[in-house]
Amino acid sequence: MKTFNIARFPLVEFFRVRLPTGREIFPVYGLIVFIVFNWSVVNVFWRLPSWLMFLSAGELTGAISYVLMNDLLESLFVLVLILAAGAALPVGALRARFAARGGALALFMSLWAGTLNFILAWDTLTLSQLLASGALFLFSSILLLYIFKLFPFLERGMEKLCGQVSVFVYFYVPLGALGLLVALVRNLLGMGV
Amino acid sequence: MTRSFSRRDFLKLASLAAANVFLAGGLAARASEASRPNILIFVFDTLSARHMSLYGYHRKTTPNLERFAERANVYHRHYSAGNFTVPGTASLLTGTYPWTHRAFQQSGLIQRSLASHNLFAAASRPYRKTVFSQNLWAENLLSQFQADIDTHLPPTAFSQFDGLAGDSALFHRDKDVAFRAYDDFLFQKFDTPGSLYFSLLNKINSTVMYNDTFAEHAADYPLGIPNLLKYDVYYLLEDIFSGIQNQLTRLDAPALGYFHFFSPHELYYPRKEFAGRFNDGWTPEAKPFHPLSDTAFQHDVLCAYRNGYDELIANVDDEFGKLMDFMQRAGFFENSYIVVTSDHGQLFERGEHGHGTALMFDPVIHIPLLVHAPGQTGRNDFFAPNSNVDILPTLLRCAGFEIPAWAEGVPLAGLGGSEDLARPVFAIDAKSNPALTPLRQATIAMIQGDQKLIHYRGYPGAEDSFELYNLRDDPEEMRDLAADLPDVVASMKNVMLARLAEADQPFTREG
Repeated sequence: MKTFNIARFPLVEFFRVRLPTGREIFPVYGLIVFIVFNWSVVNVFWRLPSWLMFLSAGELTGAISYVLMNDLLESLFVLVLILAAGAALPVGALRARFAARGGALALFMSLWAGTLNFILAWDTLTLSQLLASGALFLFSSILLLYIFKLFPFLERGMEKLCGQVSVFVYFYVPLGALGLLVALVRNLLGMGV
Repeated sequence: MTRSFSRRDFLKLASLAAANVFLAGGLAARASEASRPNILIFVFDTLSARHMSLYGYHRKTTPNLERFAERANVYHRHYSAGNFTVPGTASLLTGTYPWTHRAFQQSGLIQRSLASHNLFAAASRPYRKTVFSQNLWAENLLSQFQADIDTHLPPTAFSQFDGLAGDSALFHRDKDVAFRAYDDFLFQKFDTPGSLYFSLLNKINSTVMYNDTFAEHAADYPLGIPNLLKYDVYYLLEDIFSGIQNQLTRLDAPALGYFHFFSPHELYYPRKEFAGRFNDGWTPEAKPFHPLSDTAFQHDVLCAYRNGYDELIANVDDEFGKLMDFMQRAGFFENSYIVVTSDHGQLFERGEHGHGTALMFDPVIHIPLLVHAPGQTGRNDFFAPNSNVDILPTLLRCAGFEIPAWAEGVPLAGLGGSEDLARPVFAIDAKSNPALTPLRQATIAMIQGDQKLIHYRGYPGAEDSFELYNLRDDPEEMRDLAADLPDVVASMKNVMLARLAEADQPFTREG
């Protein structure tokens, strides 16, 4: 009698070969969570004195819930992007030593995004300038991965960093899930109506 | 042979009589309802009376409002109670000063316990209330009155496109808080956004949409597509006005309509017919920088901004002229109070461009007010100082309602009130204060007759300082008379501080 084995489906096999294991993904996700959530948290603390001036406790809780929900979705989005890059590139480029190279890519992406956000806060860029910055980022990322391949100590350092910050997953992801739940409840119950 | 009048005949006759009485009563009620005047309020954001040819500005910026004025009450010394949208609009809609309604922060809200003290609640049935605000901070205030509003058009109505996340269908049942989180924080412009990645995607999306829109309308709007500056909502001025015109045709009488247009707020992007119209080489007298100016723009830069602003005012006035002509044809001039005003003005002096700063000079608080009464065919001019807290009691009285005890304004002269030169009016900027604590840092202006006292309170380096100006002899407010007229300062100061103490009392420990 034939037994059902999902691993035999071609698509599953495709991703099994090209995606890292959960143990490799977790520290990279930890670094993404650390960066994405802390970016928002720092900005919330800048904004909080203003909000406290006129928002009620319920409105403040609601607003922060939306922020946490957004951060959770954003962190998953970034992870999917990096995993997709790993699946698309040759195995030796990213998939091998994923904890280090994926982490490096996540860090580099956040530096690029943060810089762009600071520029756009006070200036406007045309679409072609935005696309050019994206192309520059892609080119620089490939260069970065190559440099990491050349210098193993960089990979070891990045693995250690990802390992250290992965603990934030246990703190921020539940908060993000709670934010998502609160946002869902607020909209289902029509809190603002 | 005559037919006798039976009991059945009597009962039939009685029921018919009752039906007739009921029907006549219903028709009378509807006639009575319909005989109440409509009230239409048009607010043009950031429109300063000092830049309107109607009020003597030498550039021909408002020829159509001058036409409207020929059949309206024109108030030459009307003042907003605040120097930016939140306090100014809240005071107009609640009839109370900012130190009462406590909406004096940027993007702030009216004190929750006072949210029912508003024009829409006070003008109860049979009025049907329709509101529209392009300005999202004014929209936040209107949302507080949602229970008292029948038709609430979204701020993006009639716009070309918008990139607002809080406005999305996903959050339509919690849009105010979603707006606060997304558009005011996570995706905010002109400051570091709270979102690291999605804000970039939002900006790329807005840039793509803007490019498409600009490509389509660049010939008509050579300087750029008008937008809400801090928020990604882009519109064409003529679309907004035609949308409102269309909305007017749908009003159920008696209607109370509040329509808040964003223009002529910066950015100054008028249609091509008005762009460059006031590059006439004229420059006003330069004024010295004020110690509390937020910025330090040089005079030539301020003059360039001023030209753009005047051109946009002319554009807005042109569109209003078309709306006015429509209202004339549709009969609104016969059955409506039509109010044209603003929420605050704009500064182009003393190094400052804009509003909502610590400064309370005339251009930023002196706003237009024109009120056409039903059937009015002539013009009346009024020159005593009055405040936009007076609009609520005036309109309520005109509509046949009692003026609530909580209203701090009084009916305007010519519409139930009289001119009173001794009455003080106030304007308050207190945006750095929490809503429910005494005002520690604020600028308070008091206008009484020809005198204007400005009090700077709690600013580092300017604690408890006063400036005094005579607006008749010195309309440009160049000569501070505080040192020369200490008695006048003392007298006005006592009145001002007494009012402030009274307003702060509920928020002190003893209160």
